[in-house]
Order: sequence, then structure tokens, then C-alpha cells
Amino acid sequence: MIGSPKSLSDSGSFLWIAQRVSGLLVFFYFLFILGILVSVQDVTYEYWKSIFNNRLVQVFSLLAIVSLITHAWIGIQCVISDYITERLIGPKAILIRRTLSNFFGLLLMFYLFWSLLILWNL
Amino acid sequence: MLTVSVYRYNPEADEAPYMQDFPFDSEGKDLMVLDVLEKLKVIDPSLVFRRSCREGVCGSDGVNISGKNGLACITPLSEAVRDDKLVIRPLPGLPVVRDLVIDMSQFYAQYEKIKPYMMNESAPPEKERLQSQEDRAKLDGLYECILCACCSTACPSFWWNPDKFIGPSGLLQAYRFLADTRDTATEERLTDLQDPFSVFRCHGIMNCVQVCPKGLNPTKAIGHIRTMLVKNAL
Ligand code: SF4
Ligand code: SF4
Ligand code: FES
Repeated sequence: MIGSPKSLSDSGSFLWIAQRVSGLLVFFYFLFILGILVSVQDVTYEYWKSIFNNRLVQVFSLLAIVSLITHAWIGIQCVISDYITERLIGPKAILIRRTLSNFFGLLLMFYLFWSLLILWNL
Repeated sequence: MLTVSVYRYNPEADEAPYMQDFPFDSEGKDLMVLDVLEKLKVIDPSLVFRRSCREGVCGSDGVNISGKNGLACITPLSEAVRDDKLVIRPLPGLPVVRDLVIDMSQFYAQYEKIKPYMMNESAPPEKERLQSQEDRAKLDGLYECILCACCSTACPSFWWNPDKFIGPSGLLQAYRFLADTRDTATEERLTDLQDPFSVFRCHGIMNCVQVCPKGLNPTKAIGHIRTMLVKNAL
């Protein structure tokens, strides 16, 4: 066993695995939606509603949303810490990085709750 | 007639770096870029660059030749000249000391981090630690690195985070010791590499593979390390 990291976000392996798994989940979710759109002749509102009233579909949708949020979060963190570094733009990088990080964190949280509202209201 | 455009910068005298053009006649010979630099230095003795072995072994004359990192001593003009123009710049991403000479401290600091030496706690046998031929073969494609830094200075991830991302050269060497059956510090080595930057900042762009003058494949070695880390985490 190798020594354990301080926290999950300090583990490159965890982030790497989370990024792949969440990506796959979102991919399969899109395949699922695409499959419906392709296989069903005319998708009416009633039909859509009946699909999303299914417990399994709801769980799958929830998983896909959480995956998408996770995927986006890890990706954004990566981009921010690649391009906004003290080395490139000086000490102000720390503040800019935190601000952007918080902004995207809040935005993703907002998206999460918004999607949950839509999903639960059905 | 060739135009050789060389990056010049003397921090003590120049306000900013500039490109200096030299007309150059290769007399129809397919000289190496290093030969050209040597001849230019006769014309202008203030031109500064590093070199030693002049045969692709020491790794000291890594420069950016017409946009691609490589060793000046083993890059022929026929590969480097485009439209009668040869452009020579220092390796990108690291501070310039003068002209084509860069400050490689950051590069060596990353190399030092991976502990580039054999670690084995058991008492050494009388003569030497033996290894089967198959185990020895695992080090092929790894031990040949001459630390020229062509790869790491071509790597965008190393440009952005040279203090946190080990870079292709260091990681190739990290794997050289992880793959060595005589080394027993595998877990300690992996523990040092598991943060989100050291290894995982490699985005698989493969610039490193494209430029390595020794034909080595750091991306592949990085893939092996990543597999070891992920397996350990699961
Ligand atoms: S493959 Fe990885 S190490 Fe090589 S240049 Fe790309 S990011 Fe850098
Ligand atoms: S891997 Fe190749 S390019 Fe990189 S330092 Fe070693 S020899 Fe040079
Ligand atoms: S001078 Fe030694 S590698 Fe080019």
C-alpha cells in the first residue's frame, strides 16, 4: 500500500478515476436519450413525461447530472490551475484563481439544484 | 545563401531579446546546426550557446530549431531549413541566461524530486545485484535519456506548472526506477507522485515523444506510472 493522500482532492488517482467514470456515465445517458429520440416515432409531451416518471429513469438522470457537475468541476479546476498561475501573472493569480473557482463552484451548485427542481417537479 | 536567425539576449546589455540575422553559406554541405553555430561564433564571438560532445550524447545543446526542440549537433540543415531560413531559439519555457543558454534549475529540481538513484534497503551482495535478462529489458527505452530537456520544454503542462508537474523527462526517469526489479522503494516513490500535479498533469499531448532526440517515449512511461497509481487507489 502506498501512503494515503491528505484528502480525496489531493489524490490524483481519485480525480482521474472520477473524471473517467463521470464522463462515461454522461456518455451513456446521452446515448439513452438519443436512443429514445431515434427509436420513438413522435415524442409527445405525454410520452416524455411518462418516461421521466419512471423511478429508474429519475435515478439515472440524477446520476448523470451529478456526474456532469463533477466532470465539469474537475475540468474547470484543471484549466484554472493550468493557466492562472503565480508564475505567469504574478501574485494576483491566487486571488483570481480563488474567485473563479468560487464563481464556478456556486454556478455548478445552482445548476445542480435547478436540475433537481426540474426533475422532482415532474 | 541561407539566412540564420538567432535569438540574442544579454540581460546585462539588452533591454529586450531580439533576433539577429546572419547570412550563411553552407557551400552545399548538409552541416549540422551546431556546426553553423560554431561558424557564427567565429563571426560574432559574443554569441553564447552550450555544447560539449557534438554527437548527441551529452545533452547540452538542446535548442529550438525552426520551431522544434532538438539537439543542434545531430540536427542536419536539411531537416531544419525552411525557405532558406534557419531559426534558432533557446528551449522555450525556462528563463534565458544569455542567448541560447537557459537556466535549467527548475528542470533539475524536478529530476531531483523523483530520487533518480537506486533504493534498496537489503544488504548488498558481495559483487553486484543481479537481474534476469527479461527484467533488464524492462529498462530499455528508459535509461537512455540524456536529460537534454527537449521534451519537458516542449510540454505545455510543464510550461504552465514547472514547479508542480514533474515533466516528461523526470517522469521517464521515475518510471525507470519504478520498473527496476532491484529497486525496492516502489511504494515510497508512488506516494510521492500521487498528488494531482506530479504525474496527472500530463494531458497526453505527446509533444515530448515528437521531439525526443533519443527516440524515447515519455508518454508511454507516464501511462505506466498512472496505471500503477490508479491500481493502487482502487
Ligand atoms: S504527453 Fe504529457 S508529458 Fe508529454 S508533452 Fe504531453 S502533457 Fe507533456
Ligand atoms: S526523454 Fe528524450 S527529450 Fe527528454 S530529456 Fe530524455 S533524452 Fe531529452
Ligand atoms: S553537444 Fe552533446 S548532445 Fe549535442
